[in-house]
Amino acid sequence: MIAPSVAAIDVQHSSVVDVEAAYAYETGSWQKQEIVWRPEWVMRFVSGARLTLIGEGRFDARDKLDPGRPDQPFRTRNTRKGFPNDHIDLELREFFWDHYAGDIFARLGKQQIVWGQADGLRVLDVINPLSYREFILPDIEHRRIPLWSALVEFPLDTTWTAQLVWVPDATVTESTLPGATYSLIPDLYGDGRLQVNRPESLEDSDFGAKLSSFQNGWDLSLNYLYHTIDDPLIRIDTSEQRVMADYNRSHLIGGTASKPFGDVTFRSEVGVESKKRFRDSMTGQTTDTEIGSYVIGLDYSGLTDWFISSQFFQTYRFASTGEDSRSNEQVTLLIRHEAMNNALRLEALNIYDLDKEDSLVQLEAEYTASSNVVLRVGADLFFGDRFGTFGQFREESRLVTEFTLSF
Amino acid sequence: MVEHQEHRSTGFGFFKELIRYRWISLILALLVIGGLASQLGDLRKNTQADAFIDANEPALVYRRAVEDIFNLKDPLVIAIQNQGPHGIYNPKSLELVNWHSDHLVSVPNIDPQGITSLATESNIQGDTYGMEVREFLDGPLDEVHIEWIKTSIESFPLYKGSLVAGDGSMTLIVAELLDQEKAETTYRAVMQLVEEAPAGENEIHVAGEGAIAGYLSEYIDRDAKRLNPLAGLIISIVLIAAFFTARAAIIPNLIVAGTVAGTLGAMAVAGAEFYVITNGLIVCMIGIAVADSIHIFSEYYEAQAADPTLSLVDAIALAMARMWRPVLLTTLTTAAGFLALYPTNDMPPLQYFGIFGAFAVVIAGLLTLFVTPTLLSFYRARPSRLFKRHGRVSSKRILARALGSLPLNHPGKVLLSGALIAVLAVIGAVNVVVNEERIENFQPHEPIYVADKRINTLMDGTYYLDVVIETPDSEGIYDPSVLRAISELQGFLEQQPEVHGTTSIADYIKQMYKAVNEDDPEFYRLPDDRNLIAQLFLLYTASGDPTDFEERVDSRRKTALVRANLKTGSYQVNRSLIPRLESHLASKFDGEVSAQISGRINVDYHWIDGIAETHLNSVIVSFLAVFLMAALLFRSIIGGLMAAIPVGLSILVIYAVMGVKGIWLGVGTSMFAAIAIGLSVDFAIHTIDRLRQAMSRPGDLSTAERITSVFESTGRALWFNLLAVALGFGVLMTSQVPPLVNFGMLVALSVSVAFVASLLLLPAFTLVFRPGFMVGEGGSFWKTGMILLAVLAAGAMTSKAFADENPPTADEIVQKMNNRTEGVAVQRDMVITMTDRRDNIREEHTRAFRRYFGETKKTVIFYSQPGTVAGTAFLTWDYADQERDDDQWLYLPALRKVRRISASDRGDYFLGTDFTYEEIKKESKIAAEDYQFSLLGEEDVDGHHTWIVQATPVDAEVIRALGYGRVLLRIDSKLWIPRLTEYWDVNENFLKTVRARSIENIDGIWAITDIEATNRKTGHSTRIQFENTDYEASVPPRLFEQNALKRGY
Repeated sequence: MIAPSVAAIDVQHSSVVDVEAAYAYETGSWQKQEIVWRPEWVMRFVSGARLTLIGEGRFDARDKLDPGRPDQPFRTRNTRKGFPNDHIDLELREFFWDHYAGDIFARLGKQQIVWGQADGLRVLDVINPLSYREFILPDIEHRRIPLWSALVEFPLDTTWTAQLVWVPDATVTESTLPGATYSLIPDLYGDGRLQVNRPESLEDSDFGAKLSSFQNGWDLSLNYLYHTIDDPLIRIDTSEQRVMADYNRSHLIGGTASKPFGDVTFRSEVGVESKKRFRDSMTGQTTDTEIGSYVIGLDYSGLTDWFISSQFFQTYRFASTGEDSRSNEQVTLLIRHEAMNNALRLEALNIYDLDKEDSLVQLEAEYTASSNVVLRVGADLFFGDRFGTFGQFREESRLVTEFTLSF
Repeated sequence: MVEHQEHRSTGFGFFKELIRYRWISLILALLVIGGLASQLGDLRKNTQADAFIDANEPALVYRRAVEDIFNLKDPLVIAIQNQGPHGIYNPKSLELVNWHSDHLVSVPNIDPQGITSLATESNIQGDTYGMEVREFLDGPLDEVHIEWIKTSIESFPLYKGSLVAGDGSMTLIVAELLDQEKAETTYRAVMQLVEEAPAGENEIHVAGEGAIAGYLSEYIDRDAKRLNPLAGLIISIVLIAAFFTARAAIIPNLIVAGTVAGTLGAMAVAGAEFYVITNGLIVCMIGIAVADSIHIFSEYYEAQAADPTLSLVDAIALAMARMWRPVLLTTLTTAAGFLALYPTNDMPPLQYFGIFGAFAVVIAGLLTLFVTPTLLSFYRARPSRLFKRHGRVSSKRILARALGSLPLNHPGKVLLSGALIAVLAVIGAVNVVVNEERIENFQPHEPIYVADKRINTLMDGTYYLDVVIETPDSEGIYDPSVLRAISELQGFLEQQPEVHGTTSIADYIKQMYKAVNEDDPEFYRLPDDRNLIAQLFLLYTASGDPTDFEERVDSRRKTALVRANLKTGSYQVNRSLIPRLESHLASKFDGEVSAQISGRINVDYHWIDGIAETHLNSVIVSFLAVFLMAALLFRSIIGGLMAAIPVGLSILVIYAVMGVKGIWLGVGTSMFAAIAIGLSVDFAIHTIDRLRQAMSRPGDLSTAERITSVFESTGRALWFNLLAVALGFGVLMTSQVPPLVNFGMLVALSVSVAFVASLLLLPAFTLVFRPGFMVGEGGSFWKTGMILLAVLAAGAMTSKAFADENPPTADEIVQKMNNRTEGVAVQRDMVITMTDRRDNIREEHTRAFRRYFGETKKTVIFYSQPGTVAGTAFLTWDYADQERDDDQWLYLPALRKVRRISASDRGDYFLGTDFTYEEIKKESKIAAEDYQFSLLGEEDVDGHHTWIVQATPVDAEVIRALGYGRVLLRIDSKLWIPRLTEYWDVNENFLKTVRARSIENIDGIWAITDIEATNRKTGHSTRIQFENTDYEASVPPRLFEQNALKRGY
């Protein structure tokens, strides 16, 4: 009886192969010379269910971004990549099962669950941790670490939809270890030793709920997440001579709203974390505080073939955490121009940190030569002093070329 | 002297040579005719009533789709009538129903599953378990049982009136046919069965639309086949009477045979079908071939009588030298008239009539010119006894003289009388009624006619008008609101005077609801609970046959059929019903649940509606073609006019008779005018040509004498021509079939009018107006041609000025385009191919869904290939409220976020294509509020007629938003789909074209399946091919939610 309903009726495959090289002109060295293969299989079943598998295989001739065969302390065992040798890494990116039961949609497996309306800036988009292997330069899709999790969506009435999320996978934000190009972990003792006090999978599961609706032209959502904050509190254990990464749990409550007004689309996102721990950079003391963040974005598309988008991001600590500023602000500006029937795309993105007065500029030109071939050249430029968010990598400003083949 | 000159003429020499090498022309003719005739076996016959309708007529296409869904066929209906006190509620009558239902199963071509009668149907009633489905005739037919049947029927509105007459005096056995084309044989078999039935005191009638439609064509065709040879025989007798020689009868018959065989063979080669009215074409061929032959034979015998010393060859050559010109003239003129029927007609049979009529005329002309003289040369020279008394008036020519004296003595009065008759004829013709009612084609005493009238008096009616209710989802019909709408629709229909009963699935549900509530009449209504409705169906299947509902609801319970019974199929009676129903449906079913009209009544309405207009146009154009061709050939406009007089009068008189006698313009009668043209041209041309010869002949004869000489020679030939055709086809008036009686009468009438008009009006016209071309003042071919061109152009302009009232207005056209049915929901794959000016190609594959939610149209497109764009999805909600901006979302996999995008950019190009967001969303419709429309004219695009509509943006805001300064649409006048659209930018530069490369009918809906936009500035083009289009697919609402974009389909 069950056999026909689980019988696959269709398997679709598509693959993208990226050949990419990045050259850091300040240091005169290649950051990467890599080939990445991203295959995707979608298997459809008679019952309407779908099984999706997305893999990633990378060969990097330079091996500087993630040198050697790291032991991946930030990832749980089932979420880790495989490193057959120093130059190759293999990862099961996503592997999930989709099914509708009536109007109830469920997605189970390794997946990305994305909340929020902001681009690149994270207020509510915190369910999946990020990888900082290439800092914040790649597409966010490739930076998110897909987690083993379950998602269920169902309509509450004709206007409201509910989403329930359970993430037992305790993988946290992945910083590359000392020695890597974009390492964010201090290496005080010169041995690269790091103790990651990662939460327990299952026991420290994340739970969340989202209600979304479309009201009077507004896309609205209300979000709640009980979770482990994936960004670590870095602490130095002088007695053990170790760098420790600690994590805490928090309630996140927030919401999003967006609506177009003529040629301008307004986007906003706000969230409050009930608890986040900070360490004062001067005293070394840790403080718990509530923290609020929001993003306001405006997209303008009034000029044919042009897209201009700007966002303002502010985060505010409700309690003082020592000498550090209680708030931090960033602005982003994205200018995109499409030409030749979208075959050519030119894009400039600037992220500016108002406090540290430093910035990242990403320039990119993309040309779709045929159905299956895309060529890309670009530059990722860091500006500011060495203590700044972006300035710290100013030596790593780079030129990028990329060739994408899909089949 | 004259004859001496003729002996030296080129024509004389040519025909002498032709006879000398007669074998060559004979063998050539045999090869061509034989070759064509060898294909006759492939000629397909099509006697279907639907054959008269363009196969692409949307109403017909839709009806066929509906028939497929609900397994509907035009049925044969057997009625059992008992006029006793208990009506059919007696054991004998009910047993007879059983007997018929049992025996019909074994009749070939009757669908054993498609028999509906008291013997096959069941009552739905309550019992202790809830609902019992019990067959009416199950068990012994005792008094109690019969009383139960009676009570059940009386309290079951679904059957009362449709299965058993309201007064109980009649019950029906409805039998569906497997193959409609065998309807006639099946009808005969059923009649045979009825003969054998133990009828007792019951009367049995057989009728039904299936029987009528199938049987009628055969009925006409068979009688025509019986009478056509008789016509041939009579014509031969007339020919013998005219010349007293066998050859005069044999040779014309050979020419007729060659023409008929050649033409029908050519039809087979061309893949054309033989329709009922093709019989009329044969009549024309006979008339034309006979006319030419009579004239040649007259000349031949005249020549022999004038000079008995002439050799056989010389006599034939002399006759041919005199006759080739008028034969050629009649051939070309008639061919032009026929050919003009083709482009001006919508009905395929008449189009073929035009093409092959012209072909037949040309074949007949060629055979007459090249084969008649050769055949004649095989006979020994023997003069006709009737032509012996050379030069003197024979007693037989007294009539001609008498006829001739009228225009000679009173030319003015004759012309005036002609004009008067024409005026009277116009008045009569105005009264022609466009109508079609197939049953009226039978004699009132025919059993099928009697049966039809009897059944339709007692029952709700055997003519059907259907309304198809379509919901977007499986089991959508279970929705109580849908069922209520169906029930209200039935209420509306039953209030219409033409409708005498309706049935739908709602009736069954009411009955079932009542049954499960202990047959309490209070519960004869629709339950409010969707689940309860589904359970009722489930309950029914427990004791009844689930296929019982298949004619009212499809197996997925997505589509339902509401059937209205009408007592008559008359177009005139029903034609106001359809618009009334259309407006009711438009107000009650807008959006998610759609309602569309179908059924034969609807098909008839749609195509007969157009007949009057196209038919008139067609006849006028054909008449003009005759005038133009004659004018050119005579090199004189007056010549053309003179040829047109008998033709025009003949057509007018035919219409006048139809108007006065109440003969409808419909399927069968639509060819009458065409035949009148074909037959009357001959009379006119022969008379004019001979008049001209006589008038321009040197000598000092008076005009009267010259005209008299025409009467003596040509008058006689025309007289026998008239006799042959009029008597030949007059035979048809003895037919059993009313349409054939009319046909015979009108053919006889039209040749008589042409004869009288040619012999009276043309000489009178010559006497009164003394046209120059008559007395040998040769006009120039080119000059006449130029004048005609000028006249044509002026006429075209004037008619355009007048015609502006006829075509729909630009707003109506746009409204029709925007109201074009698109189905409630559709699923399809789109292959988008983008090509730049250097021929670089990008191809993208998507799956698209569209569905109406009330009046809101939602569209979602998921990209699947290539990998670089796979996962991208676009969702748009398009609101009916013009003031409200659409809502649009885009899902970009690189962000994994659904992005709200501004809908004010509707003039932007959609994801790199050459179609704007607006165009993708509108699917070849246009936002009427954005533009002002004007109709610029009409044009054929890819062989299809289109209206050229110019759309100008209403204000600067729209120009800015859409990016167009002007749009020119060419909208198909049948399908209401733009076939070619051109766009100009805000600075009036030509910007782009959008062409529909392929339009197909899918699930009864016309849809573009291949469309291409080309940007003339950039040289970039986008082609979208729609594949796997499915209007029946289940398209769930959840696909159109923002969240669905990231979930995929």
